[in-house]
Amino acid sequence: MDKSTIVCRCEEITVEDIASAVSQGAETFDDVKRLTRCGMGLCQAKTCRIVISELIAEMKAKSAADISVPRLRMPLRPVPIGVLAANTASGSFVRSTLAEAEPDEGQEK
Amino acid sequence: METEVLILGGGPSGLAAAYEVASRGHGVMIVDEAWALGGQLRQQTQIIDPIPAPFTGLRGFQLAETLVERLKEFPVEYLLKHEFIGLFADGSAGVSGGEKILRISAKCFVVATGAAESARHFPGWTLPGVMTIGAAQILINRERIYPGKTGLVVGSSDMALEITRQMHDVGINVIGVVEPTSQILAKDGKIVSSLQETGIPVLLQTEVVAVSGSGKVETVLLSSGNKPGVETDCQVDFVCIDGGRHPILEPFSIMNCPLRYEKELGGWLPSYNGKLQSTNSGIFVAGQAAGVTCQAGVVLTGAIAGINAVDYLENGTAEARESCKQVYWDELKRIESTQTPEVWQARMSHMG
Repeated sequence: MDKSTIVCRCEEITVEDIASAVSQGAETFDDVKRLTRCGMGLCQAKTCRIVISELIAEMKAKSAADISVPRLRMPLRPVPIGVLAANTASGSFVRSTLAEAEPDEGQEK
Repeated sequence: METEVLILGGGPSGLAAAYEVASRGHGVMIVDEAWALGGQLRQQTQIIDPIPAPFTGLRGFQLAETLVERLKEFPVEYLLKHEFIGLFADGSAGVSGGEKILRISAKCFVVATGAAESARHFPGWTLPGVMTIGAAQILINRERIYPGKTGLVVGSSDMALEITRQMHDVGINVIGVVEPTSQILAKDGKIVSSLQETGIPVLLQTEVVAVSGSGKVETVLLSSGNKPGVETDCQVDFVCIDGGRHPILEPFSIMNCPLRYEKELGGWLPSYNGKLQSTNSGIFVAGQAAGVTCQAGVVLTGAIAGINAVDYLENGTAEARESCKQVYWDELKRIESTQTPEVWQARMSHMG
């Protein structure tokens, strides 16, 4: 694959960026993510997880089974922040700073 | 909201699981992100074969309709256009349709979230006009939109060759299927021969060097292992990528189900036992999420997971349910071990 090929389209991270992260000591998808932002865009690694893990395996001369899956976090799909944070009446995932600043807000929703 | 069995995914495996639960008198709710049930069967126009009775001879979308239809006599609850986004601390599911978050508590879950298509990467793969082969099928059969006039397919699985033929049937000029390895990956002889009848060539040992164009796909540059150093230009307006499929993992990560790598089942997938039960005892795995397989495998694992969910609810099994499960396992073995023996082997080793 050409070095300039994009592997994470959301964050426009190239093969070269991954190689550079690996040369700095990255060994897992999460390591590479923290150095490059790969997988942190809209698709949340749904498109790039496999190819980047394969690239890391190839660069580290490991097998695909040795590269663990990144931690996938809630919310699993994009949700408006208002829905996630201000929905306290029916129970929300996050006890957000918004809710703490205005404790009565939740009652009105 | 409350239910006994919450099924994530209203595709063939989720629908099959729902039938087994509902027909035994238990409450079941299906959540799906799409506005219609049926999952990926909705755009499949080919006759599904092999598939166990009573579904033989049906086309994909008809199979979906049949699976939906036979649930109508039971009080199944549906939550369409809703996505599972996470779990609350008490184990209930958070589901959102974009306006608010619904909390659904369930005695157990069947996760039937399916598989996603994997990409292939080459310079220019992010240009508009490059899409997965499954996306092209959604466009032609479901949305009735041409993905383009002249296209190229990269990859030669059964799914890719079948959809290539469907594109040809609706009048799209597919100039060829390129396969980087030295053999066609499709295993179904009927699919291969019906592609050959179209006259569309399969170019083995051929790779995409780059796709280029001004703001959209215009040219594909190919290189052939048979003619080293020679690169060929093709003028196309779309390119379909067949990179295989992999189980969708996000729900399992959230539900703390350990994952294991099985190449033949599509890479990483949740660990499960002979009851299709994850290490988290209230969570059953079904369909492509339990390993990438054929449509028959999807329906059968859904049905088996559904019966096991009933056993879970009733704190034990019953003779009738055991023999029913045995029939489904025998069918699954018969179909997978003849169609894709490596998938059956991997499934056995995965269940341990």
